[in-house]
Amino acid sequence: MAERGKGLAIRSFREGDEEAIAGLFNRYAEGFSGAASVTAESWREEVREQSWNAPSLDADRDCARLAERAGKVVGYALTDYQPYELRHAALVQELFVDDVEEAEEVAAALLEDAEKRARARDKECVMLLLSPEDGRAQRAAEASSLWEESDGIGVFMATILDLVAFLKEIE
Amino acid sequence: MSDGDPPEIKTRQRGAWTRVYAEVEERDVSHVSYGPHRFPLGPKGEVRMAGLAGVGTEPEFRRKGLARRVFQRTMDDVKGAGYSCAGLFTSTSIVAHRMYRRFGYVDVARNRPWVKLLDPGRACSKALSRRLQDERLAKDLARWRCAVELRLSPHPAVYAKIQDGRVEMLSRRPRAVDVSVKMSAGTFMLLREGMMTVEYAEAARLLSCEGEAESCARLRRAFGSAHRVVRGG
Repeated sequence: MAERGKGLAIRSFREGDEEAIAGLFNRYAEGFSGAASVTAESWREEVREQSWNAPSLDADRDCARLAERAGKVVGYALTDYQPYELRHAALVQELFVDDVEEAEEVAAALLEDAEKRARARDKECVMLLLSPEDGRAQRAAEASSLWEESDGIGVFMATILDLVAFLKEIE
Repeated sequence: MSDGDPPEIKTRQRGAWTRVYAEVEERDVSHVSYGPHRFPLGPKGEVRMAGLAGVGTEPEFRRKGLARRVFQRTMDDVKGAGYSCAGLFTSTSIVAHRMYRRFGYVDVARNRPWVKLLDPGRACSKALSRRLQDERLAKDLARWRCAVELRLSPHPAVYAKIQDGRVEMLSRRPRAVDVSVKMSAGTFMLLREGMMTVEYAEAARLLSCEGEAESCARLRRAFGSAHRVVRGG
């Protein structure tokens, strides 16, 4: 476990961390979209199954790293070191930090940790996908010397399979 | 996989997620996973969407229509499971983005990539190799004292050279950051300003070449009017 200033420590995922990670995600989502939808189990299943997003936690626990202060999880980062079509990159898929004092320091520590691990794995770059509206995340990325690329866009795509059912769901 | 023997498309369940995959000689060579994803939308706050992930095909099994078959089967299963909509994350810069469009997917929300280069020297070397597309030229470049201006992006990224230990800056913008770049016999100073991409475009211009006349002439011809953006990677 790497100790940092003011009692901040970064460590690898351990069994039983799912609840804390789901809590981080949901607190972020509540502020952003009003929806809180992740459970410990759903997070675990998604990470295990989404091989393009992240290697299985069973095989590589270092892909999920947690920031702890005084025994409390205050942030976490999920990094894929073999992202599909981006083999040269370490892709930080998820980065959530609680709205705690010095949250920027926590985000920077998690990014620095991902960078260290990317170097050890001979990667060319660390990459993050950020929403153009998420100014806080952009400031954190900038503070860690990441810059916005001019090319390549991460996109969420969707399709409606059954219009009648879809309209019923949203009415 | 022979043409007359298309692989079987199978599924397996893991928790709430289903993996659809093509199996060849007991190998999972092309796959998609789907599972419930609650998407924030509408007055109820969310809709139940099929989230697709883990889309991939082993390199030697690409261009055989396998990904399309697996994806078609996935879409059929997703509809059969009663989902009213489906969604996935991808990049506009990969081939699969076009395939998703053919299956009726549209771009809903876009994210921008933010990047930190861990080894600018290696990135420049790779960019140059791609630009030159010729091993002999790459050797020429490494062998002789050359100065090359490189841009790894369609956006301004300005470079200067170091020759005989002297930094000769070509240009410097207010937010520029200095990074040393070493390439065998040549050393370059990279000044970054704004955005830079690793995987894609690069422009290259030979500024000077001091070495064997034949090599230098070859390099000059190769770079020629190369001060333009080309696609790499």
